[in-house]
Amino acid sequence: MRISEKQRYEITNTRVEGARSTNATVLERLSTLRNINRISDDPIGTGKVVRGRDRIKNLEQLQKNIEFAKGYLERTETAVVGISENLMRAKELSVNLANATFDGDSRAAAGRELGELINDVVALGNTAFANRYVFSGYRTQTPTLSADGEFLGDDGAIFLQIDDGNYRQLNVQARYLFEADPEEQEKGHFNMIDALGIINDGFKTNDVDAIRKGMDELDFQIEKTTSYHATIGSLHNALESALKAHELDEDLSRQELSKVEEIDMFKATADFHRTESILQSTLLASNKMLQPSLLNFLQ
Amino acid sequence: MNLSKTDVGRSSGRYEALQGLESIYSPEMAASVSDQMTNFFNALHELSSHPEEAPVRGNVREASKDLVSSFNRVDANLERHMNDINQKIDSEAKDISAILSKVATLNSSIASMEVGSAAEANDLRDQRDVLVRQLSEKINIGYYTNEHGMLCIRGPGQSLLVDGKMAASMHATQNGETGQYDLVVIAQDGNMPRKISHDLQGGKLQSLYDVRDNVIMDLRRRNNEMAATLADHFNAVHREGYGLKDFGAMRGRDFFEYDASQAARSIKVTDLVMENTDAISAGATPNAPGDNIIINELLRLRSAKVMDGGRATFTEDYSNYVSLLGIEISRANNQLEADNVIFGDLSSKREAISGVSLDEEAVNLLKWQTAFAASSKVITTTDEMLETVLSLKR
Repeated sequence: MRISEKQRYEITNTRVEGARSTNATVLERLSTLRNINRISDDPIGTGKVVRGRDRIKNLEQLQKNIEFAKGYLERTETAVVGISENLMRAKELSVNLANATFDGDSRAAAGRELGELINDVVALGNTAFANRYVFSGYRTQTPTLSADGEFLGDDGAIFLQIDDGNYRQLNVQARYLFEADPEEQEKGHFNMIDALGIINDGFKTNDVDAIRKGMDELDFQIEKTTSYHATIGSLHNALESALKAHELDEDLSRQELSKVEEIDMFKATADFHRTESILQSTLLASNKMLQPSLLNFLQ
Repeated sequence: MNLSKTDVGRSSGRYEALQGLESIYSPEMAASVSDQMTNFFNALHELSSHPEEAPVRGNVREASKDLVSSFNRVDANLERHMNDINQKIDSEAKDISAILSKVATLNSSIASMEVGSAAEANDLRDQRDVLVRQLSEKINIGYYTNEHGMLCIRGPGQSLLVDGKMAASMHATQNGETGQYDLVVIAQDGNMPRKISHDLQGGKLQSLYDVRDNVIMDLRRRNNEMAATLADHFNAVHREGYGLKDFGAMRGRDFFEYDASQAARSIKVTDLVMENTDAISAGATPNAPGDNIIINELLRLRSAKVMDGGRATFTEDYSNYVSLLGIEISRANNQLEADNVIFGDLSSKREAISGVSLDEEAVNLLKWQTAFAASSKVITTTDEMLETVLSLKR
């Protein structure tokens, strides 16, 4: 084929341009450590990156939600355990002091301790987490119990998303922890603070019968508190297993994203060296190719 | 070769026009619509955990402002690209007019030089060929040489561009309805302009129109659709909820508002929410600060398939159309490379015939030099022989 001068220069230009462009692309990848620097580098990969980033941020947020719910439930659990312990101490006192060997002064002294226990139960009923009263339902800004033990909250169940489309309750509806429901009232049961009040009155008035009556009621209150404790435990377990699943999922999502988005260092370095030598040899060959013409030999 | 140049013009125009769009959807950018959507839903998650907290409500408002401005920004950027393309169309039209006028002038010069002479005005014809090639890179043309050696060129839709000494002019005029630029040809001064935008079948201008009217319009449509769908679905749930304090017993409020004719450009957070974050509806029960039922309902939107006819979530839809744009750009690049190879091949063949080879010229030089030396030798020998003959006579 007849090769004109212009062709020689154009061929050289095209080859050098091609080698330089390939080298620049690899260099860009190597310097940014990313496979995708613009959407046309890997259009399908870009879509995966967009979805992967959203997925990871979502998982991070869900884990935050779960951590918050766990904190909320732990605070609730601590309060329920505290209430339960106070009720048991009240039971102990009443069992001891229902005995005929104690006199009125001893019972009056026990009454003072029981008064403190009642105050403590009210304070535990008003437990707050992150500025929210945990037993007040939706009325999170209103203390759950008044000083005389009246329930001031509502029956709101607060749910939090722990997975796509999966919502878990993070509070316990505590009205019937502190109050007797209509059925219980029919059976002659009392509100929690009222039950403690019966024994307290018995201590103050040295009325053993009232103390014994209060003891039976306390058994009922302790049993109810225990069942609330169990409910909290099961909510907590569900959160734990969701958290573990999310941690694993996040880890896998990050690996997947990294495979698409980040370069394989070894391959990128090898590619860079390869394209660098191609560029060098193209430049060298171009120099040789442009030099000789018959005119050079005629000199 | 000119047809191949038209293809190169089309693919290079398309690639250049599309390349500008890449930065809007760059994966490097941390404030894309998708990222802001994720941040917005995460802010809602926080609100779900703390519905009564003013700072958390403030965070939702800020995240929603970021989200709407990402819709606004994408739309503004796309519109800016459309305007850039309009400007390019305008300058291409001016270039074409200049080329047409030069071709007509060259036609005239060639005709007058060649009249009464058998030789062709090759230099001028070459100049005219170069201009025709430049023209075919911009628009699809057809041409023939008339009996006077003058070139007649027809453009898109058989519009007459050059007829001997007469050249048409090309202009970009703003369409009163769409605000975009149309391409018109005026055959002669005083003639009615003829619109040829829809008759383009190749060249750079066709690709500019294609990117402007199809690719960018489609991206704007999808951005608008996403903004409107988000606002509609979000508002529908938000209206059912109650806010805090003064808004504790009031419902029926929207969160977003927009103008249906340009959703992405006009979408904003309502003034009520902007002024007071208590207006954000979190609960389904009046005066219940800890109620987060409405927020939980709103969070369902994140994974709801409400886009693309119920086939994709917001993020999926965004990633789908960004991927499609990436494929489009990548394809345009491949097409450009392929067209360049074809054109390069044709150029090479043309050069092989018409180009100058120094080797060949050097060989020719040697050949003629040798011939010259041989001729000189013959003359010298003849002279010597003549000398000999003359000396015999003496």
